[in-house]
Amino acid sequence: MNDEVSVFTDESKFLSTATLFTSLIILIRCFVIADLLPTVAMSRIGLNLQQETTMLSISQLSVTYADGTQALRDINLQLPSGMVGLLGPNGAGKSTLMRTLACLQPPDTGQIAFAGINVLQQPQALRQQLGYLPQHFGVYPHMSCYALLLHMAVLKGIHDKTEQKQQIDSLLQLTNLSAVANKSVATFSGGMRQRFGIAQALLGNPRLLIMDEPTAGLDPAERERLHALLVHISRNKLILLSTHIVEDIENLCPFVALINRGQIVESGAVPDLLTPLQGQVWQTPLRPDDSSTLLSASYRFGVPTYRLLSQQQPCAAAVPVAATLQDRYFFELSDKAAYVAA
Amino acid sequence: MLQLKLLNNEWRYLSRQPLLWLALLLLPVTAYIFATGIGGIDTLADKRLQALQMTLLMFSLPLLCGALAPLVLLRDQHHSMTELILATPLSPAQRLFSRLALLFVLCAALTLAGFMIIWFMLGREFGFQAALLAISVWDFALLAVPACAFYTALAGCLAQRFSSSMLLYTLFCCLWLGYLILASLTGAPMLAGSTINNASLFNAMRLLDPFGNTALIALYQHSAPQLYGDLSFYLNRLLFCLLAGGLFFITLRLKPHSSAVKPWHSEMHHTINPPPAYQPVTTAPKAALQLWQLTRTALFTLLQQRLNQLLLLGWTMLLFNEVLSGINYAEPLAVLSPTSLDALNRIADDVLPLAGALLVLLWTWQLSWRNRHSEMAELIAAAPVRSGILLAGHILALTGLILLLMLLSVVACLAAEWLAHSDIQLQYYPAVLSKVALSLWLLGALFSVFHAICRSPLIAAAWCAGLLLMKYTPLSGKLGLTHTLWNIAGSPLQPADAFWGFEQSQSVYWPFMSFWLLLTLSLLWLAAQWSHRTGSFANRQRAKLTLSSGLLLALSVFSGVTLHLNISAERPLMSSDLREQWRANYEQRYASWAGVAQPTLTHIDAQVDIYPKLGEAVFALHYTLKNQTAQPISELLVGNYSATPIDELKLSVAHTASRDQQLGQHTLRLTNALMPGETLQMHSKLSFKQPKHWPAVMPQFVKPSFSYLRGMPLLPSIGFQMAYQLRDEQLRRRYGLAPLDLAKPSTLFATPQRTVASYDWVTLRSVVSTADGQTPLAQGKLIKQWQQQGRNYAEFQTSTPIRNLPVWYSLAGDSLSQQQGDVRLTVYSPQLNAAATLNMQAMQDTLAWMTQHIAPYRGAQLSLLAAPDMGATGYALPQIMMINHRVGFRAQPATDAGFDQRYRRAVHETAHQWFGHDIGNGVLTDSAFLIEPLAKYLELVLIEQRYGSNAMQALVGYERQRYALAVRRSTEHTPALVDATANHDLYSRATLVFAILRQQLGDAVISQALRQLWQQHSYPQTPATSMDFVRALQAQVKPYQQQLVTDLFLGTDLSLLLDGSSEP
Repeated sequence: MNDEVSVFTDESKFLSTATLFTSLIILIRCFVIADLLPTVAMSRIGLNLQQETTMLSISQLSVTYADGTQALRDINLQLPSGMVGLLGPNGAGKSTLMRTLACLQPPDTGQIAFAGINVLQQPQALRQQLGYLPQHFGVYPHMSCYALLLHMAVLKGIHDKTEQKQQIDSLLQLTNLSAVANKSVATFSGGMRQRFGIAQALLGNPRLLIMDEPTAGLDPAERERLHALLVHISRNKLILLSTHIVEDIENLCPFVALINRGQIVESGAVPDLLTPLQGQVWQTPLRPDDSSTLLSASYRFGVPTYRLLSQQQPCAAAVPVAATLQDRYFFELSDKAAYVAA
Repeated sequence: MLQLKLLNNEWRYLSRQPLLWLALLLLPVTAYIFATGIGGIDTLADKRLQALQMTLLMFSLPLLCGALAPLVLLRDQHHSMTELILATPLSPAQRLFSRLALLFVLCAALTLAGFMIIWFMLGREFGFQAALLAISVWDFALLAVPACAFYTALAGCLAQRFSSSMLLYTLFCCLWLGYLILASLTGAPMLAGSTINNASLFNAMRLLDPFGNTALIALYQHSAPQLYGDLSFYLNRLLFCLLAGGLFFITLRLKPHSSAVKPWHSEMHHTINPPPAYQPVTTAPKAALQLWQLTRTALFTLLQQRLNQLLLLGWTMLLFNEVLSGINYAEPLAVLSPTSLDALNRIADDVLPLAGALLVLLWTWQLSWRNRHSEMAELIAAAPVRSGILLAGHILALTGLILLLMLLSVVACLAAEWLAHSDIQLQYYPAVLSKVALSLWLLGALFSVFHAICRSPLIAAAWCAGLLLMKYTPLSGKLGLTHTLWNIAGSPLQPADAFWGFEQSQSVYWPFMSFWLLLTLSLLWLAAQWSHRTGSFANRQRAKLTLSSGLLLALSVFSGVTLHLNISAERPLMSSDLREQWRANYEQRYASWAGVAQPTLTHIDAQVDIYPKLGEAVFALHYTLKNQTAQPISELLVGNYSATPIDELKLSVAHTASRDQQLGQHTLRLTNALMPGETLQMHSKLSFKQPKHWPAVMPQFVKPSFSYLRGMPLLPSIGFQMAYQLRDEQLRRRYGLAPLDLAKPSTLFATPQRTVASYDWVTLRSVVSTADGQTPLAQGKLIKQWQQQGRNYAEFQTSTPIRNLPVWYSLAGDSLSQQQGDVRLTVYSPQLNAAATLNMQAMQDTLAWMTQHIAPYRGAQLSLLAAPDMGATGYALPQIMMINHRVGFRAQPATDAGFDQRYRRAVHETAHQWFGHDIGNGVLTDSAFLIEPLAKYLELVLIEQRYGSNAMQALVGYERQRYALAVRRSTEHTPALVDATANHDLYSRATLVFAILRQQLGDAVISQALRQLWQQHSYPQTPATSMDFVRALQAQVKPYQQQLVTDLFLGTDLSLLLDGSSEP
């Protein structure tokens, strides 16, 4: 047992003090009951929002910041269980949507229902099923990785000592942090800290896992491990993965939502999204004269490769290639009218 | 040019910071508040201006510089811009110089603005003189500029060394507090109660004072102070300019502190083994366990912080030092055999609440915003923890910290007690500290409410600071908010004293604290629902008031209103403004009665029943009123100023009555006019109830251990009361009253003349009853005493008229009596100890000396009572005197005292039976000189008689020191002694004057003058004036000594008094 863990494991004190606190809580709940009545009534309305095949339902969701910036506009999404990718450029509204789903940002209008829970009316019920990894987070100073995970475990409602230990040990192994369990998280490198964030998000049994840029800062090996882990745990869960790294989503998510300027521009199963582009994507090492058909330009060993969208062969050097999610992504971000004209 | 551009660049950033704008607002407001006090016509405008500017400088500059320094100097570190800024081609010296220059310019400019506001305010009062402007400019150039440079350079040095804003704030707060303590120990005139404790420290501070104040104050000694400094002042300023330069040089050479922690890298290798399976576990959040976890994690992280560890250590040392340094202190030159109560009283009413509130402010800040500061807010807020539990975790952690604070206080206090050989009484610790702890907890909970509701830390901090300012500074008074409830999270509980514990005010504690408790819990409940979940997150519930919150808030408001009604029902809510307004209204409505003939009160027959345990007293009064004028009297004005209305009022002759409810005045119209020489009887009844929501205060209170009922202003008065007139001409102007144009006694009575004044004396018969086990007491000879229905009764009768200041007591404790001639002397005290015997001795000595040299005592009884510690150390009424139990009965002379303060005080109060209650009353416009200065004369005579010449000289030395300090502090022109009304003139200066007179003229001459005064002016003759005494003395001295008498009593040159060479 490490030093910092021992600070939190004085069971006798824990229980006796906890008993006192329980009495206090019972008293306080007398007041809570009065305030719960309207919430219970609203939750019944929330139940109706759920659809049989949909795990998360978002309708008419809009968020405006105090400075007038409309971060989300009439978002409508019906998401099944499994892994869902939220793809969009910087500032598209991905993080705002994530924060709103995690009940950290109240919307102006709209409804969110998750597995029978009216999220906006019952945030506490959602939080009990939520695992959340924000884009940026910090840690308390002077607390070890284990102690901080233990802290989060108790807050998430894991109270059995054995379960606490087993799950934390397991998560430390999963995230490859066992060797540094007793080190202060404040001293971790960026990647290690990100793995700690993933571990804390997985504490308990979250049915909704919201991960904002989970692979940011991870080395390729850790990224691979995370991918494996996410695929492994995605049964009966909804894992909402926000990133602008298309490859991550392509590797992991059968269902994708593309977001731009606060609006969902497209959503659906990945093959369905690619179908409209199949047979129209071309690749050429030479920059095309007509840039209106250009989808993207990438480099491999410093050599440029251009991907074009055209119903006909745009130039002699162009060869047809299979459409990818990245093609669809760039297509959605671009001026579609230009392609149509082209 | 580059530096100017850099300066402009820095300013562009700084001008967007709210803290700067707050400073821009607060400093001028502070200057305005400092300068708003009303000066009299005798005010020395230039000295006052300089004193105010020095005050502003020492109070504001360290805080201003400390507040702005992190903004200016640490912004790169705070916003993770360090590496970007370091990568620019600007040299560190250029960057540092531009920032320090900006900080200096800001501090200096704001200080200059403050100085100009003070100058403007004084200019409005005294005229916009060039001399005042010149002093302001000089003060700015030589006081403010070097101080600004020093503090700026110090801030630069500290910012290079430490990158924590909190540390910088704390260090500058410590510098601020440390300077105030040093200033207090070196007799800074701006700080009430400060005195020069140590001459060496004072001399050192003349050179080492960063503001140069001490060196200037040293030149305030004389009535014409030297405002432009001396050599030591200029050396001091030069030193601080050099220090500023040195610190700047050091700052340039210091490497910027980097707070980055070296990342810990694990040495792991890529493995292709599949990761172990993820094993979900069932979760069931339990609020109690979450609360416990949040509490201990918060406590753990806060106590791990170096700053908090240092603060707790500093706290313990501060309390230990505070207790140990003053546990024996009773008053100057007197010490106590200390007890735990003395130790706790050193800290329980100032250091603990004030410093404790600052610590609580810091901790609530840290608790409330640590999630945000450590960027954990989103993780915590997304966890299934209710907002109320998050808030409760903060509150419980705060409770733990406050308990730790109290524990450390106990340790520090006990250690100091042990070292001081104090009588340790552990039972007082929980009694005193739990009250402080509850108040701190309530404050902390209110701070937490602000932090939980306000999404901006700055706004929350502003609310907290506002709350503290209202509670601990005179701001609420300045804003006219004088209601007791403005003492937020507090009560008007007074310190416990050894005489009667908390009896003075314990009844007030729970009514106030239960209200604050209810309000705080209601607000906490609301905050739990409106909380931003520790991360400034928006909350959909914010605009909604739930049923439970609404009910709790309504209950709190109801409780507050009930408390307010109870407070105001017991006693009208009076502020100084309201009191002045009452007096102005009284004069406006009833001044015409001054010219209406009124009968004179000649005899009072009083039945006073005191119920100490119930806190009640019932009066049945029979006045004998005689028409001593030459006109018939057809109308009477009967009034009472106190909160106790007259229940019943009857005359022995036919009359009609009307009542002025607002001012408490009754107009009685006699059916048949009262002819000259005729008398009538007036019967009245009234009852006094001890307020339960107010602390007991002089001059009336009824408590189980001590009941004191002074007739003035409790009893009905007859005619217009000149004593209620507003004397200050500015106040009179403000309320639209005609100027009084009161001449000074030296002018008014410059030539012998018959004054229109007369003595207001009465005969008094009292029957006083009180509870069994208590002693009833009143003025006059004890005629008889008996028991009836389980109560003690006593009848007192004065043999000759006494000054119309009747008083009645009910006392618990022992008494010591002795007969001296026809006079029965009695000392009443809870315990009879050596001090009681000494007080008796002082009474005997005074009585004997006065009888032999001046005039015999008029009464048959003279009593001295040990009174609880309620402010005044001694108070004399006709035939009865009260002396504070702590200084008069518990204290002993310090080893270096030279004389015994207990004996001196008892002599002084006994002397007032002649000086004050025999002569010295009857002339309202000349009621100071013949009272205190002459009692001080008797102190000199009797201390020399009992303890010898050295003891008397020790007293003179002590008074000279006190007077020198007071002269430094005063911003008034020095008046002639016979015109003076300030305490330092009436006590200390008078002592010095009579010491010189005794040396130069001898006691025989002074006694002869006093005898002559008695022969010509004692009751029932025309009352004496101070000039009558001066003339009587002039008549006794040789011609060459007359100038000395004139100089001492009518002159204003203090060099003779403050110059040690004139020491007898």
